[in-house]
Amino acid sequence: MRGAELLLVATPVLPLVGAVLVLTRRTRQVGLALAPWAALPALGLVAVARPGWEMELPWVLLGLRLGVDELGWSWLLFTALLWLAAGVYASGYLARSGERHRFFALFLLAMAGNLGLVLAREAVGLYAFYALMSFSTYGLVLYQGGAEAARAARVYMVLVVVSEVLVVVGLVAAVSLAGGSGLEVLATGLGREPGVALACLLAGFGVKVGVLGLHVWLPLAHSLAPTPASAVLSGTMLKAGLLGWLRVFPLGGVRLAGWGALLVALGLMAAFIGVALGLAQRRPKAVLAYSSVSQMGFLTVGVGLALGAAPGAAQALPAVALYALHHGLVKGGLFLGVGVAQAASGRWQRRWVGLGFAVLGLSLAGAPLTSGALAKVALKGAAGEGLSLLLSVAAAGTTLLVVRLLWQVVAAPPEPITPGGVRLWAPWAALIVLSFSLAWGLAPRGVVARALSWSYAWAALWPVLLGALGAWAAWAVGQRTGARLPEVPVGDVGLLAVRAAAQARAALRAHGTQARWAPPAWWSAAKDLLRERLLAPGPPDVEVYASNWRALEWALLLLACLLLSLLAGG
Amino acid sequence: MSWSTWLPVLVLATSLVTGVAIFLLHEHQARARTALNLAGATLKVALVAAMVGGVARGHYYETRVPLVGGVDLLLRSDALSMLFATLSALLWLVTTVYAVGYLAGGPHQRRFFGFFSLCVTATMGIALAGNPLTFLLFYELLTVSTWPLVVHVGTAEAMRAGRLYLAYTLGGGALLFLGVAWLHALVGPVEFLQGGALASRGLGPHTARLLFTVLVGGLAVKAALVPLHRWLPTAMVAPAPVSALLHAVAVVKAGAFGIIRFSYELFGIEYARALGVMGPLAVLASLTILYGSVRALTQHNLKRRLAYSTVSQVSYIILGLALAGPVSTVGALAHLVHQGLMKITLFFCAGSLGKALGVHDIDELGGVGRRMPWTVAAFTVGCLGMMGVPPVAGFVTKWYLGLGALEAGEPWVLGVLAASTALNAAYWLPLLRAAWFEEPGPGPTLGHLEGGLLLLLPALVTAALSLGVGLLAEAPWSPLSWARRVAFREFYP
Repeated sequence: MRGAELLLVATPVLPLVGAVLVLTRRTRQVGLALAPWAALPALGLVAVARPGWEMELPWVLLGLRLGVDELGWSWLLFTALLWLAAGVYASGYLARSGERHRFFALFLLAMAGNLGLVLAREAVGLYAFYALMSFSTYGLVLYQGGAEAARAARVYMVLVVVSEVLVVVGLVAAVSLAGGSGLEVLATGLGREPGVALACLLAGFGVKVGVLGLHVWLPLAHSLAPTPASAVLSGTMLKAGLLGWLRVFPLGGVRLAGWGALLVALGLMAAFIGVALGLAQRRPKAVLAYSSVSQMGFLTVGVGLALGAAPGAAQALPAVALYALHHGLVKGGLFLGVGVAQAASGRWQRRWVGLGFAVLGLSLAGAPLTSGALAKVALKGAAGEGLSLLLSVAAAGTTLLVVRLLWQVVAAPPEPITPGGVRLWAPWAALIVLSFSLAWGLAPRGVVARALSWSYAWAALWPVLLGALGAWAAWAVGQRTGARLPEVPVGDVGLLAVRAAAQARAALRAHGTQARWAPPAWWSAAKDLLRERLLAPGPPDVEVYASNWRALEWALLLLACLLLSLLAGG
Repeated sequence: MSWSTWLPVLVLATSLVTGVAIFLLHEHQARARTALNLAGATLKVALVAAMVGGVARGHYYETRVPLVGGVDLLLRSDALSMLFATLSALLWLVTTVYAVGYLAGGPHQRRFFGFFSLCVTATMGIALAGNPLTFLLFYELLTVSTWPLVVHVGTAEAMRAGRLYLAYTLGGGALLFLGVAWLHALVGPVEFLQGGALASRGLGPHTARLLFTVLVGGLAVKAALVPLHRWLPTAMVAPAPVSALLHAVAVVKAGAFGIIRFSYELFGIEYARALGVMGPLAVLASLTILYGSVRALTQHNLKRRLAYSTVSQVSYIILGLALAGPVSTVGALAHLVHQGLMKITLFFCAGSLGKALGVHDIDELGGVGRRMPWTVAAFTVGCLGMMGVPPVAGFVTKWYLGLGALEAGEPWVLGVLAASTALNAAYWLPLLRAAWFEEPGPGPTLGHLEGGLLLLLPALVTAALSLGVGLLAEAPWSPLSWARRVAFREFYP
């Protein structure tokens, strides 16, 4: 068990050490060299861990427990892979940035938080790592500077605080109900009395998941953060909220039909509205971000099914895990690809990039034989007929989004300033291969068989065809009439809130200068009297005070000595 | 007399003798003064450490002297007093180092350090006081010995702040005096007692309630409970080391500690709860928490913002004890230490920023993180701790207060904590953003040891402690573990 414990501790600690090394000037070069590889202990842990590994650090926090369970194992797998890929990618992407130590310091802190929260086996550790991840990411969103990034970072931070507050309140309530903070008991209390506590946790982690209404930070942050940061934001950090849900919700125990239905409804809405808003975007990273809102909607539906204990819900949890793995790798790959495409200049290079995007895009849409098809089979296995149909329609929407993305990426001219090189395309290529293969290796045999059956091939194909047809029709109409898709600013309703907040602040300030609350007359009179009598200001004559100092000194000393000599003599 | 009767006196004497010696020195004997100060502070830490070790092993230290009319002057050590005494001794040492650096070359240092030592003597006396009368004596000594520190710079503004300080604290002291006198008239000589001394004395409920109100009202002035808090933000004109000590240990904490002592060991928590005085106190503390945070939000002067934050944070302690359950009490006691460590860090850093860069307003914080990275790093730890972000100490407190509120059947307190957290975020995070992420304007480039080693080192030490006691909250020597020992052995056995 020694080696296991070492790996469990090293997984969050190595990135932390890396952050400290990067921040200290003398060790900066060592830190920067280490930074891309800081997720390796986590991968080592994935390679050797057996479900059930657990250790306790009784002094740390309120008794920190780290461990790997079945869900945590698959989560750790894609989380670590993505951080590794993004780390290597970032070392190439930011190679010419003089400020890259600032990026890597925050990147490593967020990594420590993200990896740690997967391993945490009790509520306090879970929350601590969650907070570490959320707060450090602020600096990543802000990294590129400028007014837009500042606004995105502000919106991000406001929602982080909302999320932190709700999560901590929810966790305190859950721990209090359950009578213990271990994850194995945490959900029992919530199962008995869901109420406010469950609502807090739903909304708190929901901010991270991007539940509709709380999603506004997500497109802003994703489109303005440096590309490797966007990849981990979308690929793993959104999933951290999801994991939060899975860790605290009473899944598979009691039946919380109402809450489950609520989640399914929220998920479906996000799945459709995310697509609609994504189509109205001009920048590839914004399209991808809204696609994430939509895809997280699919996952929310899965959690809702498990929570509501609908028929077939037993399959919902593994389906969610599989879907999270698939979407994490694919979406991370797509984000990284945006930077690769910007750097690709030659004709063949651009063709290869186009191919890579097509593969990832088809996978995202769930075309047959891709990991997406597999994930969708698993999810639909847990859903009923009608719900499956809705999900297929949403998948057609995803296809539309993918076409739009491909169009933008292919049409955009390369940006010669973007550095390229092996550190960019190697992690990208690795993610494409892994996203395609890993899910097939990990899925339960029944799911694989179903995904490979002919009947399902058609079920997976028609949404993609429908989407492609829709895209073609839109293109044709656009060619003929010159109509373009409407544009919605990134951050949609969030921007309204930002504007309203700015107006409210201005109004308050104007009000503040005009009219202050005036105390009643008797109060002022009493205050004046008091001031005259008690606090009579007198001349601020320093000389007078100076001459009185001695007296005060000796009087006090005498008093203190008296007290003490009394004590000593007694 | 034996070691166990001498130790409490010695603990007080280390700073009193230092004070006397400093008053006897000349203003220009700076080196001798510093040596004396450091020797006294170090010796005190060693003595307190010995005492803590003894108390942990179940020893009992007591010094008792008959005073008048059957009332004793009584110093003694129990787990609760050790919590406060350790905090004071430790932070006195750190603050002395800081003050030496901060005031170097300034006028009136003899006076400053003399009263500084007296102030700590008084704080120690409050920590060790074994009965209300002893408490009162040292409480008044604290008031008077702190005043010269508040007005140290001698400007008209400082003098005004000093007058306000005196008006409030002497008023509070008078109220406390009245309460203690009345107490003696009612029940005769009385000592702080585990489980409460008054529970079985057969006081009428109305009398007891009024007595509680008078006593706690007197203490609440120093604890800066709304509406008795006005003096605290005004007193921030004092030099940074004074503000640091004032907000972290000496004055504000004396009030909070007093409220704990009087409600748990004079009245007794069961009795106080039966009297129905704890509910109103919890409501008042909640109001103070929210009011302090809202006011902090609108302050533009850095130290004033810190001061209003103290108003808010100290009431966490009061709230925790007023909830009157073991878990919330653990939170309250731990916060006594945690808030001290975090707030002293913030004041140290604010002082360094003012001294090295002339930064006094929050608008001037832009880019200071690049000039004084270590100082701002310490400041960041303090800010995050105040917000309750793990693993800094403030989180541990908040967690326990939350659990305690639910245990006591007062879920509304969670709402107060949530609102306070959000407000804390609203007034700390913009500072951090400006300090770290904005470009610095024209000005000196500092770096390396920044404002000077004597200013930097104390801030780093207290920041590391704030982080350490949160990160290793369950270690056997942590404030949390000690708070648990107090709560479960003395208050809720």
